[in-house]
Amino acid sequence: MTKILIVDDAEFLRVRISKMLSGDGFDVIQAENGARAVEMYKENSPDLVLMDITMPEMDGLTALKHIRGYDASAKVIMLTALGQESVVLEAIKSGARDFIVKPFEHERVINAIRKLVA
Amino acid sequence: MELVFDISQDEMPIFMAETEDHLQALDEILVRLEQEKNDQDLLQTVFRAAHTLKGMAGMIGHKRMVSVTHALETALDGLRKNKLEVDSALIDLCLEAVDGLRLLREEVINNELSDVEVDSLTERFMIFIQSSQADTLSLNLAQSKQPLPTLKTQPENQPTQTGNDDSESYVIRAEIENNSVASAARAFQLMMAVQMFGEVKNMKPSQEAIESAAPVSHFEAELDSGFDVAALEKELSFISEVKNITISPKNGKPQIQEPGSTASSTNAGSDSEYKEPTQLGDHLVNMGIISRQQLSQALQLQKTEEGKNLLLGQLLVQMGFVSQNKLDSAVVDLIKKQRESVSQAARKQRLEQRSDMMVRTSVERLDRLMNLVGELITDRNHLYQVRNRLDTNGHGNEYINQLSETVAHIGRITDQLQEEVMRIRMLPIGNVFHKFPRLVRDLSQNLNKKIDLVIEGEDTELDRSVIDEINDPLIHLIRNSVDHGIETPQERLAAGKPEKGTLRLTARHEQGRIIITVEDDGNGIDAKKIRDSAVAKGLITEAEALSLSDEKTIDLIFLSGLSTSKKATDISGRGVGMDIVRANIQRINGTILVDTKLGQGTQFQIVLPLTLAIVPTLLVKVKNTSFAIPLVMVAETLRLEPKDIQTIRQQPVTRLRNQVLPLMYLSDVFKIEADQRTKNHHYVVVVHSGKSRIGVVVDALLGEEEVVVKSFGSLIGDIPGISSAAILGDGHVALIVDIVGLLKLSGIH
Repeated sequence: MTKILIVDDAEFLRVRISKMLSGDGFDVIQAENGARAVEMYKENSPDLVLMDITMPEMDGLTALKHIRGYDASAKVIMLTALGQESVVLEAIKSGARDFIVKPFEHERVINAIRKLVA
Repeated sequence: MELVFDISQDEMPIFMAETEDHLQALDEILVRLEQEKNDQDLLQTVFRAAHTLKGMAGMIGHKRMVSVTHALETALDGLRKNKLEVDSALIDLCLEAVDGLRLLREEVINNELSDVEVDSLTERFMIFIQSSQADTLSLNLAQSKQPLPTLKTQPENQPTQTGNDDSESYVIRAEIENNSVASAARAFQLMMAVQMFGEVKNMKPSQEAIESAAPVSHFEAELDSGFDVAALEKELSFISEVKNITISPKNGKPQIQEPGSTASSTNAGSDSEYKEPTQLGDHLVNMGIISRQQLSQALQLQKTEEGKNLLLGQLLVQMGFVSQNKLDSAVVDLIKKQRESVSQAARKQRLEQRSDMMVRTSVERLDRLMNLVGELITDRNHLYQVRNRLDTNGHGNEYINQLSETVAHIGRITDQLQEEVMRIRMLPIGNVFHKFPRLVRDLSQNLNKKIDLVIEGEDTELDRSVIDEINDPLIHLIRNSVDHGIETPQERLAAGKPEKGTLRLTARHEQGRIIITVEDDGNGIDAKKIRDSAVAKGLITEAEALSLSDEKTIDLIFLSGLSTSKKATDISGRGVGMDIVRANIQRINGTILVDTKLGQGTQFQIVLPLTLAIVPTLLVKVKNTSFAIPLVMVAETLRLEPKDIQTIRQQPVTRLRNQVLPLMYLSDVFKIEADQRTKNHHYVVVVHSGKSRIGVVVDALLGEEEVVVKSFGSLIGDIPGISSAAILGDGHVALIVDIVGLLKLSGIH
C-alpha cells in the first residue's frame, strides 16, 4: 500500500486530508511540523510526502531540504497558499516535485499523488 | 440567511478548538507585540497563526473568513518583513480583525450570518498595506538575484548519444494554465526537467525571468537532438498545471502529446538516481575513493542502461572503481553524516514529540472517568472499613491477612488512579490569564490610563471545572482594578508615583490549594468612604459603622448595592459585582480576601480547591446525621466543657486564646432534635470564612475523609447551608456543609 506522510501544523487539515486519502486506499501517517516530518520520514520511508510550508519549529522548506538530503529521491508535494509564489519557487528549486494550493479539492490532491506514485 | 460550510460533524470540534487556539494566540501576541515591537519570534508566530487560520477557513469554504485572514496575514507579513511598522493603530485594526474572526468562526456552528463588515475591515488593511507597497516591489527584485542551484554530478559531457545523432535541435513548448498560482514555479519545473536531457538553449522566458517569480504562461526551450524524446515527454507530463506540451524538431512538425498519455519508454519509475544530485557519488569523490571522472563514467552507464534501474554504488563496484567493503563503509559514513546534520532538528523534535502524542478528548468523557474514580474511592473507603473490622476480629488469620494486603494495594492503586485522572483534568491557569493582556489594553486605552500587566505563575494547573468558574470573577476584579484602583497618569504623577500603574496577576500552588492574587498599585480603598456609603445606603446603621474596624469595613465591599466610585462607568458599572464575585468563588469552595492600603494599592487573594469533584472533609456527627465540612474551611477543633460556654446577647460564645468566638449549634440550624446542650462536653469545629471565625458545635468528630461530591440535582434543589452530598465508605450519606451559607443562615456574619 502506498504510504503517504502528511505534514501540517493544523490538525484540522491533517484529519481532512487523511480521511480523503485513506478513503482512496492510501496508508496515511501524520506529522505536525517539519522537524517531526524529517524524523518520521526516516522511520517510515513513506512513498510520498504532502507538506505544508508555513509551520512552527521547522518550516516546510527546511524540512524539504532535510528530507531530500537524507533521501535524494524523496517525493515531496508542497501544500501552499496564495501569496507564497517565491517560497514555492524556492521549494521547487530545492527538489519539491509538485505543489498544491490551498484550499484544494479532493481530485486535485489525488491527481498530484497519482502522477508521482503511479 | 442560511450559511453552508464544507465541514462534517466530526471535523467540527477540531476546527473549533484549533481556530480558537489560533485566535487566542493572535489576541495575546498582538498585545505583546505592541510592547516588544521587533520581536521576530513573535512576528513569525503571529503570522503563522493568521496563515493557518486562512488555510483552515479556505478548506471549509468560508470566503469571508478567508478575506479577513488574508488581509490580516498580509499585514503581519509586512510587519515581519519590516515593510510595515508596529503601531497602535495597526494593532488596533489587527485586534478588530481577530474579534471579527471570532464572529465569523461562530458562523460555522450557528450557520447564521454575523454582522462582521468584512469589506470595511479589508479595505482598512489595504490602506496600511499599500503604504508599504513601493518597497515591496524593490524587495522582490532583490530577492530574485539568488544563484542557480547546479546539478553537481551532472556529467560534463552531456548529452548522451543514444539516438540518431544529427545536430538538429528540438523545440520544447508548453503552456502553463492561467489559473496557476505560482506559474513561475511551474516554469522552473519545466526548465529543470528539460535540463536533465541536455544543454538548454534559447529558453523563453529566461532563467532570470523565471526566478523573479513573475507569472509565466508560455514556456519554450531548445535542446540538441539525441535525447530520449519519450522520456522527456513523460518527465514533463509529471508537472501539474501544464498543458499542450509539444516536442518537435526545430524546423519540423510539432508532436502534440495527449494529456495523460504515458510515454512508451520503459523507465516506469522515472526517479533514477542520476537525475538528482547523487549524494553518494559526491561523497565518494570528496573522500577521494573515486575520481570525478570515474563517477561521470558510472553515471553515464547508469543513464544508458536506465531501464535496468542500476544502483550507482553497485555500478561502481562492477566497474572496479571501488571495493564492496569500501563502498559499504562509505555508505555508513555518509548516513552518519546525514544523521548528524539533522540531529539538531531531532533534538528539538524530541521536545515536540510530547505534543505529538496528544489525544484530544471531550470534557464529558473526563467527567465520566472522574465519576467512576469517585465510585471507586467510595468503595475503597468501604473496603478499608471492612478490613479494619476483620482485622480486629480475626487478627492472625492467614486469609484475612491476605485480604488485608490486597485491600491496601487496591487502596494505593486507587489513589494513583485518582491522581492520574485529576492530572488529566488539570489545565494551566494560563488558559484564563491569556485573555487578560487584551482586556487590560483595551480598558486602559478607553480610560486613558497607562498600565503594565504582569502575569506570574500562568503554568499553575488546576482542575478544568475550577478554571471554568474562575474566569468571570477574575475579569471583574481586573476591571475594578483598572477602573477604580489605578489612577490616571496625572493623578499618579501628582501622588509621586510612576506614571504607569502596575497590575499584577499571580497564581501558585500552596498546600493542595490554589492561590490567585490580583494586585494593583493604585489608590487603595478608602474605609471612610465605604463606611459613609454603607450608611447612606442603609446597609448598616451609623452606630454599627462606628464600631466597625477599618478591616471589617473594607469587607463591606462584598455586600450587594455598595459603590464608592464617584461616577459609574460602562466598565465596572455601579456597585454590582463584588457580591457576585464572592458568591461565585464561594460556590466552588473558594474564599476571597481583600487587603488594601490607602494610596498604595489593593490586593485580592482568592484561595481555591484543586478540584471540585473530590473534597477532603472533616466528618462530624449530629445525632444520626453525618455532615462533611470541607477541610479548607476548618481552622481547628476544640473540646469544650459546658462551663466554657457563655452567652452574650443570647448568642452562645466561647473564649479562644483571649478572643470571643461565636458558637453555632448545627442541631439548631438544621432543626435536628439533639441533646447537645445537656451533654458533658461539646466538640467544636472552628471554621473561617473570609476574616470571620465561628465555632460549629457538633456531637462527635468522626475523622477526615476524602469524599466524592454528588450534587442534589434539580429534584431536591438548593438547601440552605448544604452544598451537596457524599456517599461515605460505610454506604451512608453525608451532607456537605456550605459554611458560607451556614453563616448567613445563622445570621452571625
